[in-house]
Amino acid sequence: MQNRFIRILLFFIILNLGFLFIAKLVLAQEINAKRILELADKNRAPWNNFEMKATLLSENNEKKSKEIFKIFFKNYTKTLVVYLSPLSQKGDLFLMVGDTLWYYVKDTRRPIRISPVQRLSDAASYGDLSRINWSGDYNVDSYKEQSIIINNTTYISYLLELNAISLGATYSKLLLWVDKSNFYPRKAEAYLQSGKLAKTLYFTVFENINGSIMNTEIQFEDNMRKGKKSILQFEKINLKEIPETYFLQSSLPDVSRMVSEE
Amino acid sequence: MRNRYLFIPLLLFFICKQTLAYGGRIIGEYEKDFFINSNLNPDNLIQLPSDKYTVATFFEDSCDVLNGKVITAFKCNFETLNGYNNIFLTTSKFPSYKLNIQINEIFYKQEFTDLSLSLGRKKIRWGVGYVYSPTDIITQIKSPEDPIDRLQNLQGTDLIQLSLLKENSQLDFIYFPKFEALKIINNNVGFRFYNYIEPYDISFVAKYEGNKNYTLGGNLASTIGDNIELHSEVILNTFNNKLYPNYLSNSNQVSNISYFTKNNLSYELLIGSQYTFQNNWNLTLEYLYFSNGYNTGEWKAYSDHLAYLYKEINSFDTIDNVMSCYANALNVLTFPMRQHYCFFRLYKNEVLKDITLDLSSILELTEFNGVQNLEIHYTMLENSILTFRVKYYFGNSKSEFGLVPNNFRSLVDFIYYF
Repeated sequence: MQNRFIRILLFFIILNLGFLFIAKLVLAQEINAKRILELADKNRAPWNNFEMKATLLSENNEKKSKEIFKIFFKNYTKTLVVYLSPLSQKGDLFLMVGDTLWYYVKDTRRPIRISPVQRLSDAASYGDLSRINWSGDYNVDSYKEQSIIINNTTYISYLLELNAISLGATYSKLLLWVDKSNFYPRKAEAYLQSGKLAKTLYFTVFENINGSIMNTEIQFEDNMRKGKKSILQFEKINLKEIPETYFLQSSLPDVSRMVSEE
Repeated sequence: MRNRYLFIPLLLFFICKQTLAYGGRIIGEYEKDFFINSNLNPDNLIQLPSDKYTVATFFEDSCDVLNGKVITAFKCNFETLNGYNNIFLTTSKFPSYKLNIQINEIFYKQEFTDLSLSLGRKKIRWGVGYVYSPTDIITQIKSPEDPIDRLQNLQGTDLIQLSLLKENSQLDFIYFPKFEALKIINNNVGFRFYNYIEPYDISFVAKYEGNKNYTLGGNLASTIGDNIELHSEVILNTFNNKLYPNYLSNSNQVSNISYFTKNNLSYELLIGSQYTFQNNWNLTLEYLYFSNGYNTGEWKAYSDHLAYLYKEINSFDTIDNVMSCYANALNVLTFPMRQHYCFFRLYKNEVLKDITLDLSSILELTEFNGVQNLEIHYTMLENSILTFRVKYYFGNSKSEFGLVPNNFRSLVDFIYYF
């Protein structure tokens, strides 16, 4: 009788230890995956308050276009994007606060709500400019090591499967390849809610700016509309405190006139 | 002779292009209108042009002054108008031209930590509606047919604005006196409190006019998921300046109608939504209600009166008598005449290579009449857009939009941005 009791007790102890071991493994994986994503984020936006100029070069089969923006970031969750070129859109802007995106057309003088996945130009979406916080927008569902070849260079990477947890996330699901050696994001595949592969992003250029590494060029390939490609380049990065008034929907008509000069 | 004035906007364009920091645009436009013999305009009595050429230049600038900014927006507009009428069997041509230089905005703006001060002439646009905004109570566009004010005809309001800005809210106080011959005749005050409470944009607005008129209202906007946007507005006025036909006492005397004001409370309501499809087509729907619009009896009295004038035009002794009757009738004809309206818009950028399509309608729901608008924008070069517009007014001859005499309008314009 006593032996039976000891055996049952041992069985439960071993079972609990097993659960503990598995739980610890899962937790460790989650922490690692989250950390990888945070480090990749840091290589996209190393600071929480800065402004920069962005140039979007797009190619739709034979047609080429160029758009220039000024972008202001604050606390990772607030972004103001101002059109500088083409001149027909100069002064138009879009504002993202938390999960909400507004588009302001200068002539109408009224901001309207839009969705981040709406197309900005050929292969790029509004959210590609206004959202640089993967770790706030996505949950890491799984990760593994995988090598990828981009432009004949092999990168030993972590492949992270990300699923959107925030309403402000641009895509429903992302597959993200992060360089194992330096945590640079190298490639991402963006999926829509329907499960379709919408576009592929390549993070091609990284620069040292004020002592921090920052991704300064992204190439987009549109998988739904063949032949559409875009390149997004960042320059004139300036670390400064951005006024809170820039991120208030009701002040956009005034802000448009104050900041749309190069 | 008059064509030499066409060069004034062009001349200003070349001078100002060199000196202005901000920029602007120049528009060349040709409009051709086709007429029906409407009850409102027999034989083109009110001399609407059938052809119109416009050259307009818009300038915008901002410069730093005393730690603040001076922001200006003005336009120079030249139009030539051609048409004819044939009242009393006499056909006459009436070519004419208009030259207009207009300062739409000129104000000084100074920003402090949480405060900003604006002083001068400025456009204030409040509200969340696309076609019309009841809560846009300071510088309101009255016509829903051109919600973006394409030719910038709307001038700003002369005001002093003080804004208090916080992280998710803004409080505006506006003092905007009404002037007459440089004398203040009314002290008007406006107020708005805006607050963003995720996922809602909420605003409360109020206005007091020195003649003891009060306005109070609010608006709300939000999104559902990735594709649906919802918005609504409501406004209550303690006054109603609309003129109504005195049809109860003179129901059979359509020849001699008089008008009166009700001086009662009035309110306006807007409910709307936008849906963006996955292929980027954007659909907007809005419903508008105006409590001060004409009811069926009032509208019948008004339209019967116009029908009477149309039928009996040759029984008048002189054109002056006819004009006087029509002037009275036209004086009351301002949007909205009725109570229930609906707006519909379908829009897509890059529907074809470099082409944007914009299809919209405004419907008056009681008698199902309205206006249909089609616009095709073609981006020709980097900084220029060619646009074709067609506008068609439909409805029976006694309905609000059926009365519009130039019921088919075609327009082509070229815009160059600098």
